[in-house]
Amino acid sequence: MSGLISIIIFLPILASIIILAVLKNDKLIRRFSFGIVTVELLLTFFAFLSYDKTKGGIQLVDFVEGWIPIKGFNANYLVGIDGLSAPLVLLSGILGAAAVWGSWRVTKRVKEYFALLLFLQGVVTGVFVSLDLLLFFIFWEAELIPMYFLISIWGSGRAQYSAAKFVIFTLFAGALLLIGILVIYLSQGINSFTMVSIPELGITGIPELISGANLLIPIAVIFWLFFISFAIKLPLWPLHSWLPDAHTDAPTAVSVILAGVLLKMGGYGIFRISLGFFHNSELNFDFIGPILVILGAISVIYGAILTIRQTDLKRLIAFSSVSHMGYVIIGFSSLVNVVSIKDTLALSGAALQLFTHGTITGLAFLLVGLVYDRTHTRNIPDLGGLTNKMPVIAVFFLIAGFASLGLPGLSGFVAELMIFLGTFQVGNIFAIATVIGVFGVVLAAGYTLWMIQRSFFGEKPSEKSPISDEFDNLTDIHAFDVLPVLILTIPIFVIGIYPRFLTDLIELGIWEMFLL
Amino acid sequence: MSFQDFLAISPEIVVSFTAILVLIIDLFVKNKKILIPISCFGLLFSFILTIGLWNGWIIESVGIYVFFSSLRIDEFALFFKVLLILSALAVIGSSWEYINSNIESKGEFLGLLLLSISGMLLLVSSVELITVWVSLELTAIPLVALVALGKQETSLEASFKFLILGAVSSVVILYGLVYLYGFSGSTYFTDIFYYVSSMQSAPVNDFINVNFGLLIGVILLILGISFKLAAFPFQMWVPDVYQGSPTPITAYLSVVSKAAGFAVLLRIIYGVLGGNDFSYLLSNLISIIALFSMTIGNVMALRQNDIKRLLAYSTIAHAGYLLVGVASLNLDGFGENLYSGPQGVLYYLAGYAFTNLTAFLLIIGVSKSIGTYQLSGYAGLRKRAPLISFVLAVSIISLLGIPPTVGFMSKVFIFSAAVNTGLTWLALLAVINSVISAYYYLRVLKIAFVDPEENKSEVVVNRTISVIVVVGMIGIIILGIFPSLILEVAEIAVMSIVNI
Repeated sequence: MSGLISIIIFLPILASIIILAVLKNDKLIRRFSFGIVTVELLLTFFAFLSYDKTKGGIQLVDFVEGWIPIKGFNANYLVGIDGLSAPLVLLSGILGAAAVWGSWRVTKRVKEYFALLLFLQGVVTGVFVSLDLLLFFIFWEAELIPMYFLISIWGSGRAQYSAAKFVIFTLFAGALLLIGILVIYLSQGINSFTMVSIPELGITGIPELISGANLLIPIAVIFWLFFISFAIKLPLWPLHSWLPDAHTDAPTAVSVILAGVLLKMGGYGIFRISLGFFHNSELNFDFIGPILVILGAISVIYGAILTIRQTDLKRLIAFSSVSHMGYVIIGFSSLVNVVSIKDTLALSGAALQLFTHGTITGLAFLLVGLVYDRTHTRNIPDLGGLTNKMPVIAVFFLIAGFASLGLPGLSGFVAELMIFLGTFQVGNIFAIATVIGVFGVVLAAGYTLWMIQRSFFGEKPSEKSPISDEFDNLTDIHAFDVLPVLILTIPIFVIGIYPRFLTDLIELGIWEMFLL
Repeated sequence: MSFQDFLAISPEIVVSFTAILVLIIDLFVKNKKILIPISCFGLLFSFILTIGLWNGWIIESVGIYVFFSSLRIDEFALFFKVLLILSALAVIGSSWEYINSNIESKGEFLGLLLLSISGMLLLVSSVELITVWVSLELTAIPLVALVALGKQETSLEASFKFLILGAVSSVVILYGLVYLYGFSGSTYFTDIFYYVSSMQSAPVNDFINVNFGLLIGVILLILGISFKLAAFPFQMWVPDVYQGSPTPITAYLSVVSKAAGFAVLLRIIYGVLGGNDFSYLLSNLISIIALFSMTIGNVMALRQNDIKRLLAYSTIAHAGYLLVGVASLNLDGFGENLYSGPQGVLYYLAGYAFTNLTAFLLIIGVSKSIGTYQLSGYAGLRKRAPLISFVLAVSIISLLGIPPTVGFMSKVFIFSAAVNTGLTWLALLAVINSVISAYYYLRVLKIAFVDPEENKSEVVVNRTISVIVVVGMIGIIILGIFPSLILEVAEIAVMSIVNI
């Protein structure tokens, strides 16, 4: 019982209550929130570092038994991190800090804005550290309230439509998830919400109980309930239609969190629950694996093709997320052939991709926000030659773009390479799908470079463009914005050059989950 | 009949005496405001007596039969009595301003309301068919008058609708009770229970054939009670009556009246018929009623522009969710969870009382200030009344069932009970239904928090109402985070009716 993880969850939630109830002055609220996320970032980093790789297992456990103690409904408060969730906790710390630091320009309804953002930060972190299914579900659903308000109040365009669409899609995902959780819990022989086994506490988790359990409904149905639910969140083609709308209309900071952390909830869910629970049950992955890899490949190519056609900077990046999350699914499909640690390469790649995509896309959205603040348009044909006026932003945009298209030396490359190598090894349809998936990288290079070329390089905007008049007055990055941009850029380089910083942990987590 | 019998129904006696006292005092005083504290005091006294009964200070033990075994003072009855009295207290305590400006006959309003409450208090502890029927009528008849007391033109129309449909449903219930009596030979629940259990050993088909009449009786009873629950097939009155009646009465109907209806239903199904071959049939019947109720409620609510009508349809939907819990009746679920259905219903009802009363009392307060029940009048409420709009948000989020509110936990328990008893399909449809409901609940939030205000005037809400709704909001969150506060009591209450 170290309490560190609980502090990480509840510090921002408490802070949001304090903001709502006590603080009055906008300036004070802003500083207070900056302070809280900075502390939160340090705490998550500390938690990440204090995970002892030699010991492994679940660490930093906080366990309160009998949170809901009535007969037959035993939910505990159980949080902790393992090799899989530790990087994601760090990710949510980084993205949360970047989002709040990057929001210093917000002047509309400051109090509610920061309160909601901090609340969101707390519950999203809660999803990654919950080891009790009911707790996991509570955090999963609680994220909806702040997201709805953040998109619909501070958003632009069809903000209310997008916010409602986001909520209804996620609620639908939650509906399937809830049924899945209840079925698992109530099946004879399980009767537990615990997602992992913790031998030190004498807890046996669902992954071990499920193989001998007498399930209420066929195991394949349960698998697909969970999988569809997480695939909506990820999002996977053809369940992705909420994502471009929500991303495009959300305010910058929310896009950053949405792309950076919220999508990862889906990926993490698939890892921990869809794969983690079922991999050594009676479920036949030989049949599911090909379906996953095909869906993943379609997602990659479909997302990439749609991305090329976009003319709105934000929408473009949003669609590229669909494509990049397809790689994660391709990586997951390699589970069919995992018998030794060698075979976990693609799974590690998928887990790493969750982290790297978070920072890369977060950075891209942050920079688009900066560009939009200056030009007041995100329409690519109206932009052009921005490098002359905002060289620093352009440099960082190039970094984000190159990382996204998988330039060696940056983090995107490592993750995608691992996924491709690992899945290709499986052979047959997996190899074919991987080859198709690799074309996604080519397309990514196409849309990224073309987008950067059209907006940052090339001719100055033409007379018809709304920004041609004010083009000469455009300014470069503000000193305050350097910090959030840097905090997202550093991991891109660090992981690109020294991936073991994360992969050691991830491999440990995956080894424990699938091979132990 | 001993003195103890009277002690055992002291809460009911106190409430009905208060009703008469209010009517008498009303004749002699000019300042009618005094009637509110008198009514509240009566209810509070009755609440204390109920707590006393529960703790065995007044009668020797909980679970005794009184008045020739027609009433049973068990934990189940006391749980509902506490719930009903507190809800009624909240409604009456916060409605002075409304009564003062909207109701002409103030004394009658309060007197009738108290009489109706005393009927409900009797209803939840009655274990005999005729007592059930008499208590049902005692709750219903004052309500017909109360609905008509509003100043709006629609009040009278609403009252007629309520009267006629109420009468039809009463007749259906009575018909059902007659069948129950005719086939079991007794009006006492215990006798019917023994009769039904004694038939247990017979083969299933024989059992159904021999007891066909009993089955018809139960089906009629359930259909009739759906009027009280605001559930399909007797849900048509709900929107019109909710819209037409004085708002405190709407709140009362949506919470108190519904809770009492569920008490009777649970007592009959779990206490009398539970644990035998009827269970499957009843479970199927109630599942279908539940499915229709929530679907009709949610779909019809999508396009409402009047907040009272919107909440009326949402009430129908919630009756549907609650019935999912009642339907979780098959007894082959896994052991320890056997009675999680009724437990969930009790928890849901308590949470729903907090949530819906908060919402309705808030509407009383806000509408007084903005002068309309149209949703558009709530535009920009966030700026015009920051605290109240926050409370509104919490109650709407609880109705929608998102954590950390009591509405979320209620749904989890109810659906868990359904999955446990093999009703996974129903649970799935119910969750999808609650996704549909997001659409109209979000619209309320959008109007209050996102839309720009047309009218910039501040919304002033009466202080009593503010205090009560803030307490309600705190209750919504506390019960959502610590559900065992209610669940443990609910477990005891349910066990007191299933183990006669």
